[in-house]
Amino acid sequence: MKKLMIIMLFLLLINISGCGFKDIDKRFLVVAIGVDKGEVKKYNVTLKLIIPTALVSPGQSKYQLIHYEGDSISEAIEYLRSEIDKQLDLGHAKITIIGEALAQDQISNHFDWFIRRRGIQRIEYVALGQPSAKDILSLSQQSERLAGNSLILSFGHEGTESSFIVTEYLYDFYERLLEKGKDPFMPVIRVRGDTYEINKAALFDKEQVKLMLDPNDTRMFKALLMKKSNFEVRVKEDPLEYTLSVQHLRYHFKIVTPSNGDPYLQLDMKVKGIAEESDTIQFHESWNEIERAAEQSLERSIKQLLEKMSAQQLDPLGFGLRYMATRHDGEKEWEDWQSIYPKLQFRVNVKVTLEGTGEIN
Amino acid sequence: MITIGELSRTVKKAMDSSDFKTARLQHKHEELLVYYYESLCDLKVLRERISAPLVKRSEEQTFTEVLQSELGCEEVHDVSEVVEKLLRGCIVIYVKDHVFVLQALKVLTDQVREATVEASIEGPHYCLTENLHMNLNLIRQRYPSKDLTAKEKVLGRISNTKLILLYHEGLVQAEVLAHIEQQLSRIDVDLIQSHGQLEALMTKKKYRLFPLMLNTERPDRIALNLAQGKVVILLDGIPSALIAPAVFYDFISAVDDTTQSFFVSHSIVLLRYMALLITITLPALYIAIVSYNPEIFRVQLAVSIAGSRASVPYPSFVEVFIMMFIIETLIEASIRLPKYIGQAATTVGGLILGQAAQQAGLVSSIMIIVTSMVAIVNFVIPINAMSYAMRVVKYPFILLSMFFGITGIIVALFCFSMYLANMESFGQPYFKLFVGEKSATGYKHKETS
Repeated sequence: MKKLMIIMLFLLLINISGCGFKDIDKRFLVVAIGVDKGEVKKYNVTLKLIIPTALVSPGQSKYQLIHYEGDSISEAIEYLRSEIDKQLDLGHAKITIIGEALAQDQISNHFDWFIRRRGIQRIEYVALGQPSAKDILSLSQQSERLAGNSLILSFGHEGTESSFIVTEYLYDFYERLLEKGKDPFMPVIRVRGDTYEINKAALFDKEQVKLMLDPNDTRMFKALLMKKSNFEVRVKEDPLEYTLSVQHLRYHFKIVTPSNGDPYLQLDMKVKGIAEESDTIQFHESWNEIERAAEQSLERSIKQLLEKMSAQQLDPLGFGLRYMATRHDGEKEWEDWQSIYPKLQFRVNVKVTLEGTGEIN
Repeated sequence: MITIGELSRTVKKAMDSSDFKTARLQHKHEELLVYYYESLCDLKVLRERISAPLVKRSEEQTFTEVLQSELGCEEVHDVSEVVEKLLRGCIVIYVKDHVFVLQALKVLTDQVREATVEASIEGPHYCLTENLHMNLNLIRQRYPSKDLTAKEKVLGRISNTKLILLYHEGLVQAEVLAHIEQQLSRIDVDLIQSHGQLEALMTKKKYRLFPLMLNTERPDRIALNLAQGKVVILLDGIPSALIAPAVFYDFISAVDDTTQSFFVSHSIVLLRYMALLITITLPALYIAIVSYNPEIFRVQLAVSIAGSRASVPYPSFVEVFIMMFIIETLIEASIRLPKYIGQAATTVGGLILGQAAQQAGLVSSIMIIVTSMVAIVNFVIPINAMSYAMRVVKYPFILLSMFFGITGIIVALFCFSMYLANMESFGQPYFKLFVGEKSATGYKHKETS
């Protein structure tokens, strides 16, 4: 009798499940979250939901866009929950797009929800959508086998490794919002025809967008930020004109504050590369000239970028953090740095080694 | 001195059996009575060693003297021993108030055959037989050491099964041997017929999941274990041996491990441990990931799983139970079925049922992969007893993952290793690591000082 009871209890037990139990097909996977400035209320939240299909094939991606306005992101999501028949699962949200209008003020307030909300993985990407996040999410590329896949592939380094695309993660963005001496940035996504155009970066101070880098500056910025090679530089120094394909890049910098004289930042960079696309340079010519041209060209563009940023008091490369880390003045360091940065001079020294001219002789 | 009256009274009961024979042999003045079981004895022995000498015997020699000089023939002074000898395949000879027994057992089970359960590619191919003496012969050939000691015991009130304890005197740990002998002496049953039964009788714990003794059919494995100081138990009529004490590692190792080069054999052992982990956790992981934490997958995979599960109306654990039931019954059925029908069963079960179940929307296609993975990976475990045990272990995992998701699996893994670590095999730790262990083959572990 006792044994029978145990068996009966066991049979009852295997018919129930735990409380977090929700099958994957009863969940709506959110792949991207877009947040825009609302027309009436504060936010307009757009979610891109994947509609799962048994067979996944290119160009067949199915998705559903839902959006709602609310005074807070969580309120909008709460309303969206009532519009769909399955549980919203934010765990797979891979990218958050902030509308340009929203990025103009109080960015740190908007990010609070993303950090606090459970279920959102902090390794998701953040980006700025031009003109609005909703426009970006509405586009589905032809090659996509999964809604939102092309955005994920663009930012993760699995698919394209474009030198124009800077990647920013949610956790890093949030860290930069809080960190003194290291400012946040975001890649900018625009829609051109039926594809995305991602070749700009938006630099923030702690509150709003201050500077939009053009594609050329973005490329240099990415090289400096990620120390990533594999990009091309157009070298244009009379009489030489060629493209240098950078294979290897290393740099280090230090901030020097001499007691007599102006503070300056010394940046030494070593570049190895191959000359590409040129009619003027030949294998048996002296390579010194060619290298020199590239050095000058690189130095100029780096200096330009750094000066642009310092003019706006923007510091996404973390110079301020480095300054404070190498001084011992407590709270005063930060005040010092704020006065030093606008007048900081940049001394850039690039050493280019040409590994080949790209010709086959 | 045993009189004819005493003897015939003793064997009276046996007379009822139709295969019990009595014969009266007479030549000149000699007359002898012969008793034997026709089914047990080899009549050739009777003919060559009794009838022939009786006729050829010279005048001055009595037949008693002839028998005394026979090998394997002895005189019995106590009449009560006679029946037992008869049942062991002896011929009982009564001559002039003397009783002799002659060993004449007909042995049909000493054919050496190839190993089937623990087949090996490069190692020796022959395995133990169902005959105790033949087995001892095979082992002694592989282990010609004067220290190899065999102790015979008899178990079972009816079966009187012969059992041999084998060990290397000097290498064996005395307390282990004493422990085993003590457990053996405690056994009190009518019939003993298998190693599993013997193992169960020797262990005190009633509710036990894992095998505590290694069951092997390979003489080379036995030799290796003897050299490691283990005790080997041979049972008459069973083509395998029990090795004690055993540790968890023994059940995951195959004899082939020593035939390969270092990296090959070590990576194969590693592969087996991974297989072990997969076979016990995979169904549970399926439930936990599909129903609790789908964010563990890449989004691309999550979507295709969601798509394939879309037609399944039941929660994931019902799906798992359905498929596990199918695969377990399939394995169970194919073991018992004759070879000819066995193939049909696997085709019907594996191909048709699996395909159809998915198309009918009963299970998802990912679940089909999980099911077959679990089944295949389970067969990687070399020792059968352990592979059976692991088939059972996965169910507690499934149950816990149903209620608590990934956390449940981690708790289950924790409890599983605790349980293993708590186990002992004849006083020796079961879940033990081999660091600095003496190596008999000079292969797996170097001796560290």
